[in-house]
Amino acid sequence: MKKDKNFRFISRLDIKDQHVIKSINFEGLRKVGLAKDYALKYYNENVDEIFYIDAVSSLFDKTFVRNFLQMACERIRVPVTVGGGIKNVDQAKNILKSGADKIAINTAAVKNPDLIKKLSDLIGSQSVVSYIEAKKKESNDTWEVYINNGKENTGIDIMRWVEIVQKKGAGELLVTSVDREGTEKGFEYDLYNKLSKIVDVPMIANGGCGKIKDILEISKNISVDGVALSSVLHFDKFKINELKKFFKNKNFNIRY
Amino acid sequence: MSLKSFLKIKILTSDIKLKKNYINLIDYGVGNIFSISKSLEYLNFKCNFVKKPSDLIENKKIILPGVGSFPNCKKLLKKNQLNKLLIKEAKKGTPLLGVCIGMQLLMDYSLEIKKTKGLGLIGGFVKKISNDKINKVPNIGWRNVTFKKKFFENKKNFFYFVHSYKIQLDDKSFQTSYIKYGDNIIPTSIQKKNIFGCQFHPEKSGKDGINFLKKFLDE
Repeated sequence: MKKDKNFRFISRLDIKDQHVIKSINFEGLRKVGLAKDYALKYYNENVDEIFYIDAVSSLFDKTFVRNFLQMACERIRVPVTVGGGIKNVDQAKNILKSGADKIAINTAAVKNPDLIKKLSDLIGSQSVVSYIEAKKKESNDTWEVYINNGKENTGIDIMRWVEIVQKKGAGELLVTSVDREGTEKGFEYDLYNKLSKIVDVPMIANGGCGKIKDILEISKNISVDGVALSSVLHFDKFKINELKKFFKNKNFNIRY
Repeated sequence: MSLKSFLKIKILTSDIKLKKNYINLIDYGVGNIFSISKSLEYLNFKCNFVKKPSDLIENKKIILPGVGSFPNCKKLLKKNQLNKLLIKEAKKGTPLLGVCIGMQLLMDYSLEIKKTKGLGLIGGFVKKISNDKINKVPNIGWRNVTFKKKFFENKKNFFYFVHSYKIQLDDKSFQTSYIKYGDNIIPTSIQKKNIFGCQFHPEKSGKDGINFLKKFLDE
């Protein structure tokens, strides 16, 4: 990795009501703890960003956003991205008003790609994250875009989709490997290598991290600007401080 | 009016007029106000949200946030007649801090989307950052900022950035910090007498951000 490349460590918090939950391959939910406590814990451990994703799409509910998000953002002085069930511009605005910096959309964007354009025109493309769930087609080296927490196949080829969302104004991509999600078997390197040919906005890799070495490996991909981590942090495989120390010692350009 | 309610009103007004640690936060319908107000509260300041000119508490510092696009921010400022207020206050000597697009708004004009006039408090304009494969645009993430020594002394300087446009100063001496981003030198904070600006988001920059805000508040 080139020394001047920046790299970010994001903690991904899957939330249901007020709780952090964790699943494997998006199946079988397990409660981990209170979302606001976890966010604060990672903030204090020097995490670079928080990514909240609502597993049950309650973000359309104004009261939920006000009650939960404001509390969850109040003491967190790092950027916060929020996704899960956002369907229109008003919801996005409401979420940003509650302290979030970026909104992530998947399902609604697949159904109506112009929503990305609408959002980026209004709140700026830097605040619009295209959240993508990718699953490899068994037959060949292609990946398809999934929605609804990796449950529903849209049949859209990921390369085509990434071209579309970039053209519509997505400022960042967060790409989750459905097959690796929660498995701790390492990132799906082939997927990101393929994407790096066409990606020209920041891309975050997610799904499959089991050890620090996995992150070192994925960071070699020039197009990957950071990783979103969940189980390894929730279940104390390693701490963010530790992670940063490791990368700092390897002369990476990171915030420490 | 009962004596009790009279006293209550009296106490309330004196609270507003005399409390030393009020800060005017321009609230013109763009996002991000929540986080910055929480940071200011953390620093024991009370936010006075200024939605229209008459909301302003005089002789208190002003913070002008900004997210989204320059033309949209400008439109909303104008709609609420806050642009004239800001120019008047800045010329009067009231300390003013523009954050992100709030800083860009201090300039003469911006080339984002369409050429749009700014407040014209600092000479120069706003233009797009040129990108390459490593240094992408928007510039999102934590960057290690280099400050002029006299301006800000802090151990580490990691600040959070989210932007696609940068300011181009007519007079470089107003620049108080910068980052190198590929071939770009991006001014990351500025000061011209009582007028301050920063491209990064201090309210999202952990401890360093708090220290930066504190510096402005202590000025």
